Amino acid sequence: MNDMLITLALAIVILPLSAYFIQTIVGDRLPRQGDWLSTGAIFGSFLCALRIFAEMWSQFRPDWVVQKTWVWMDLSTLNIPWKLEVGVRLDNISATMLLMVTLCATLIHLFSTGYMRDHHGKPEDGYRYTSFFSYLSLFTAAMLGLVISDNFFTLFMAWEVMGLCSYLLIGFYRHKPSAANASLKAFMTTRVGDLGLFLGLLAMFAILKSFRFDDVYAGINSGAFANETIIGVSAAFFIGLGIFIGTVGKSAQFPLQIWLPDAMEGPTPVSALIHAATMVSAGIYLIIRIFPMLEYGGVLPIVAYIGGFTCFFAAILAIKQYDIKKVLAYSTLSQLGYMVLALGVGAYSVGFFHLITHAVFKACLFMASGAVIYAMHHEQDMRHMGGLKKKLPITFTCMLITTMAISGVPGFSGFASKDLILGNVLGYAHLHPEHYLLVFFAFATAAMTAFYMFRLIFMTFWGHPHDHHHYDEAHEVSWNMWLPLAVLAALSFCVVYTGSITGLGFDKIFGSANEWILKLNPAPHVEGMESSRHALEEAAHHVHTPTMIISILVAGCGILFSYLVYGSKKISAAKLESLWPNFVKKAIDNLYYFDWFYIKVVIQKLFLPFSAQNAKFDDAVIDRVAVDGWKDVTMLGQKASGIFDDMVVDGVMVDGVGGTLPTMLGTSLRSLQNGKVQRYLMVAVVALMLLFLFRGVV
Amino acid sequence: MAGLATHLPAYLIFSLVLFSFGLVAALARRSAIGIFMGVELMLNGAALNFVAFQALRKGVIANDNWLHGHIFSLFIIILAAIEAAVALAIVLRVFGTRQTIDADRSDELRG
Amino acid sequence: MTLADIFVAFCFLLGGAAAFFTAFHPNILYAAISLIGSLVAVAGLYGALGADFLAAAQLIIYVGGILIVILFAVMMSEDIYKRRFFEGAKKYIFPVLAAALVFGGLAKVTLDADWSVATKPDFEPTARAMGWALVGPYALVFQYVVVLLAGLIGAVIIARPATKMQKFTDDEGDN
Repeated sequence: MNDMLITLALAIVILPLSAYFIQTIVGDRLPRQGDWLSTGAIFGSFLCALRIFAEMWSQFRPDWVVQKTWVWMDLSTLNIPWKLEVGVRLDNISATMLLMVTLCATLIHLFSTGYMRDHHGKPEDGYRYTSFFSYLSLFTAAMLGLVISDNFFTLFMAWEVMGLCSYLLIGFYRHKPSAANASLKAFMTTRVGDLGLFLGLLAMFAILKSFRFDDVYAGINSGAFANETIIGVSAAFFIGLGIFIGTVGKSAQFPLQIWLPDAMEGPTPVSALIHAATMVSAGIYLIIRIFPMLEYGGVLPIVAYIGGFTCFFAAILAIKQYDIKKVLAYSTLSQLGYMVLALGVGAYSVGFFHLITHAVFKACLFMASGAVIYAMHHEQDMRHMGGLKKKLPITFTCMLITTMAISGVPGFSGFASKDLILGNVLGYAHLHPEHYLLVFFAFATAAMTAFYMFRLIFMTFWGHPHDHHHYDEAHEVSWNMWLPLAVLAALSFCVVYTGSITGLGFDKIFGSANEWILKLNPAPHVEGMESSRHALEEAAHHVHTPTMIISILVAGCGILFSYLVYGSKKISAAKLESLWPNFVKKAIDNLYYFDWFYIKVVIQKLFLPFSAQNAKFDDAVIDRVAVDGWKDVTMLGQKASGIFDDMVVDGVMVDGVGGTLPTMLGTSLRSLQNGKVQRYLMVAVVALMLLFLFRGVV
Repeated sequence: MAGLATHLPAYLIFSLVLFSFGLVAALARRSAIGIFMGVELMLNGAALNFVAFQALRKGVIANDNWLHGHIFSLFIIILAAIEAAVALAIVLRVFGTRQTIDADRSDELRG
Repeated sequence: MTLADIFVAFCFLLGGAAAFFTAFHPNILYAAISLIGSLVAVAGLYGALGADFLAAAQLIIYVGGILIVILFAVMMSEDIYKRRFFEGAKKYIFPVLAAALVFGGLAKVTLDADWSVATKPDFEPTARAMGWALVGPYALVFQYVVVLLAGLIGAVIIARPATKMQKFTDDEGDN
């Protein structure tokens, strides 16, 4: 049974990977440019993931794990203690992730078969339709590979491949300079995060000699990291912080959040897949896996504050955006901040819960906005939209459902997960009153989220159309585009996750299977942390009711306010804007000057001159000495060798031994036989005397 | 100097001197007759040796009263005489065929 | 320092010097004359050693017979009548070295030997003893030597002059 599961897990990765290869090589020549190949492959992976999830469900216990490890490299035969083991791990978290990722990926593939073609059904951008699907396949293969890993090494490998695919996909419209720049910006920024991740992994391996999750947890519990320090800080802190920096990059947390808004340059399915469901959640997944180290090393406060900052300030920016996708991008930033905040305060399973629910409704939101954009002939500015409610009914319905989910309306999945996050943050603040700022961030963001998301709904679907040309031509999208929306919207009700229809907790159905997503995913055991975890649980439970009330209140206020400004236009938006001081408005417009700082100060003033100096050094010193100098040495050597060859080898050995020596010997010995008898006689006499004298020797 | 007449090593060294000079003459003289003269000198050196031994170490080798050394030298003289005749006859013959008795020009055995 | 010693010393010097000239003098006639001197010295030494018969035989046969014949041959040789007196000194290097080697080696052996058992020469007439030896122990050898006199006849035949000038390479049959 376990072997079959492992085989299924491997099949999950191999199917899209093979699709990638086949699509790349022969995709052009397949009918419909092979989009069915990629979609079919990922659907196959979905079926495998479903089977694994079913197995998990039938077992239904928190410690269900199926693992298999192989030895990749073992240098112990050379007496070097270096062993690299990689393998597959299926536990509750990875099984749930697999299901979520494969489902979202399948739906997004399906959506792309519609979105990436123009209104006459011809593929956009000609032959690159094929490449799009091959990149999607590679990306999903990498993400799934990351999820099934049982060790940080293959996780990192998959992480990097995802970075590559993100670059390829964001920059898909490569004729647009903004897209090319955006893809590079995304790659480079995540690279900075990857540096931290890499250092953390190196330190981990140096101390533990292993990358496997189990070995890390066991190492923490056995005190392997107890007395180690790296550059002055404790090893666990260094490792945890390094790995968290990887997440900061990949999940676009403050201060590396600059790439996510620009990444909207990519096609909308890409935004749905990468920047909602999968890649950014990979960062959260990483935190989940390294959570014990973060707890043990005391990194969690940093995590919490970064999460809190991100979620609050990104929400502020979302209010001001006019591009429909940019709103969703900042919303993603904000929700990721929520997840990081939740994990930061120690609410492990709650963070994971929000990850899953967010992936589902965010993917739906992005695809719905994609449907709107498609219907409006690639118009993305909301100021040109309006009144689409009647024109795109299915899209509207799905988008409304998921918007209510994200805003935290009871009955929807987002309410359940966000409510729990808010509860845990409040509970944490109760235990540590110095962190009340986090509470402010969390609740304020909830209000703002409701506000700007409904702003999006009202601006897009309500009121009068601003662009009649596009409006007249708009019609509902084809089945392969609204079907994914419907499926995901259907999964945005909290009954799916908690067995409670309203999510308020008192109407649990499904008996023991309720709250499965929380019950099955506790944090791995860490010695000494049990008491604090327990305390947090208690505190969160204690404040559960007030949190619920406040969160519903806050969400309601946000929606109401949004209706007043954008729905019924009772309050003027422009008036509201003018309330703020100029410097605030300027800061928001310039995205808090992050881009300016990174480009103008860090890169132009610091890195570029440094690189120029390095280049100069390389030219003047290294090239001159090592390269040219070596050339001179080689020439000298060659000359000496030549002389040696001439004089010694040719002169002595060839000419001498072969030429001069035989000549001399011949000439001298020839004179013994010159025909003169006297010579013969003399030789005879001398020989006789020598024989006579040296009788003993001879 | 005293007792030189009965100092055997002196005679032996002298005969060795004669022999050596005779060897030089035999090896280095260009004329055939010069070579022959060297040979004669060598023979004389040898003969002197015998007589010296007969006189100064009599009875050591052959314990009798015969004059072995003298007889030997006598025979050397006789044979030298015959040899002279034959040698000079040969020289005349060689001179007759090639108009020269230069030993350096007689190198047909060369090679 | 008896007379005998002085005499023997004189003979040594004479013989040595004469032998030197025989070997090294360029003029072959002078060499022949020196050979006479050397042989005479040897005869003298025979006398000093008590070999009276042998001294006489040396003087009569060797000097008076063989060396006269040599002198005749020298006189008739081309070196004289062509007045050619040079000998390349270069030719003497190796022979001198060879002779030196011979001399050195044998002298060393001679001087290393133990000559302590010495006798004095008998100064008795030896003619009778020689005669008895020739028909005594050495009779056979005497006969051989007589047979060798046949060589003289052969010499005469060889020395017969050719009827005409013959080249060496001509194939002419025996004379």
